[in-house]
Amino acid sequence: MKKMMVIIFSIIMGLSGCNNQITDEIIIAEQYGLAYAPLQVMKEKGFLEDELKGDRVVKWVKLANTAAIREAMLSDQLDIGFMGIPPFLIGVDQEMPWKIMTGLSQSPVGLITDQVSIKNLEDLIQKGQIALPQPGSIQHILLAMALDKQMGQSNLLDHQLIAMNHPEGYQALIGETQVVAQFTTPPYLFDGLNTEGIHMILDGEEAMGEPFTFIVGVCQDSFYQEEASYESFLRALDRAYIFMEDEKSETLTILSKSYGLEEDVLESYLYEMDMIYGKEVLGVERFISFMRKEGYISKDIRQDDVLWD
Amino acid sequence: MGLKKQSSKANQQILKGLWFLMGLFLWEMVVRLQWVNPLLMPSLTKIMKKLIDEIMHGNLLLQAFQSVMLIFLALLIGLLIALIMSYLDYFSEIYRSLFEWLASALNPLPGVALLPIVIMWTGVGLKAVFAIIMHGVVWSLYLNIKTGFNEVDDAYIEVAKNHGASHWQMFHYVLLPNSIQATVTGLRIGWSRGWRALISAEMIFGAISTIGGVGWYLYERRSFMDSAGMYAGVVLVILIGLMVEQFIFDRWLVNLYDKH
Repeated sequence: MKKMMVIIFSIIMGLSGCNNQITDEIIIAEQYGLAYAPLQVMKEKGFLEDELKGDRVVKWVKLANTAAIREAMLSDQLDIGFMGIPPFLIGVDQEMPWKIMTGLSQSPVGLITDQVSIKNLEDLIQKGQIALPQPGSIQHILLAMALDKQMGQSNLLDHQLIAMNHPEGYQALIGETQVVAQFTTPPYLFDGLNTEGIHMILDGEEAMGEPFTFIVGVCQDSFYQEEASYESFLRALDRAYIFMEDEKSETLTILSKSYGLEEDVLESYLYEMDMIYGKEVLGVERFISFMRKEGYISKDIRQDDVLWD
Repeated sequence: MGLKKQSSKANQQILKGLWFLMGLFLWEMVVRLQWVNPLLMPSLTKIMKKLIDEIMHGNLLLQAFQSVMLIFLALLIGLLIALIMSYLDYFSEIYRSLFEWLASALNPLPGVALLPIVIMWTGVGLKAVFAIIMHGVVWSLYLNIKTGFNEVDDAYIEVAKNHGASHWQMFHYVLLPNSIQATVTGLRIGWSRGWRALISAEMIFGAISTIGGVGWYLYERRSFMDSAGMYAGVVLVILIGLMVEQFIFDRWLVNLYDKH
């Protein structure tokens, strides 16, 4: 009875809009994947709460994709969101009042297939569907970059794309479906490459031509103006990075629970497979120039305009 | 009486038009006074410009055509299946119990809830979306045709029986012609359920063919944060819905009914 009352109450509160952001709450959105590992550590260890010294309550939400993060931020339901640089730039182009507050991670990202006959992008033409998280995602833009470089036409495979999140896309790839390739990230990328018959036909960095930050943290001006909270978040993130380096064993315990992976597997994924965790932001200029050239964004954006100080 | 009905219908049309204009005026006012973030609510001119641009230079019309054709195909096949089911239901107690049980279990089930199972069976693609639309269409058609059959005047049935009509003759000459209105109602409900199923399915797992349908268009516009494009897609969905109601259900099929 008590549980039922709680459910009814939460529905009424939700409908009446009382779940809107209240001033003593910081709401942070993340997505699923190893690239978000420092956030998991920060959450589990309570670093942000610690830095805020109890002034504000921290609420974590896991949203399905960048579009949902953008919409939540637009309706003031979210303070900090994490995403790839291209969808962030699409928001900037649409005059979304947000900027990058920090980088989060650099991560391997790749286009994998289970078809022996497919060895490069050309082999994919008219061969089946290619799963990636959504149009305009970092995976989509990297694919467009590679197609532009190798075939001279960035949208050559657009009509073969299918929007699927990483777990579903991976299931579709290994199942008997029309999906023949998936542009994915760790742990799915590593799982895939460890599976017999699956091979990579395009590496993200090769497509980009230079190293790039895979995930960045962004916020709107309103949160940037809240200096104490803004700085607390960055300090908490620093602590998460240091913790991941210094306390590997506890890090693995925390993350193996979050990701449902064995600790030894996770150890090799985190520390031996080119995952780089840090606040540096790389690749913004390159993404801007390519996306502007190919019409994904319509305005001339300068790197300095998209980074908070 | 007839005159009153006619004038009341005309009044209704005028009132609906006024409400529509008032809605547009309020929308534009909210935008111009900047009560809401323009990314959430773009101006009407922006939306219309986008709609025209997408129709003239983009694939939107082709995407809409594909969506509508898919639903019409599902309606056609669904109608055939529902007619066979209703025939068997009317003349056989065994089939009636089976179909009634299936309809009561499956009709309230939203197609989207079946999506993960359908994907497992058919994979992602046209087949999956088609299966979901068929689910939305068949049960409403069957239940309406069945009701139509049951409401046929007993006198007609008796006359047919006395003349030694076979099951097929009874179906063809008595039941079917006397339940056209119920069938049209079933088609109308099937159309709206099919439309909803298609859009939801496409929005959940993306494109289903080379260009995708209207659902995929909406999904894509959302990904690119193109608010005007999203509203333009919704406007097109509404326009198609109104046109199908107006020209196919209200005129063509009703005329067909009147002829009988």
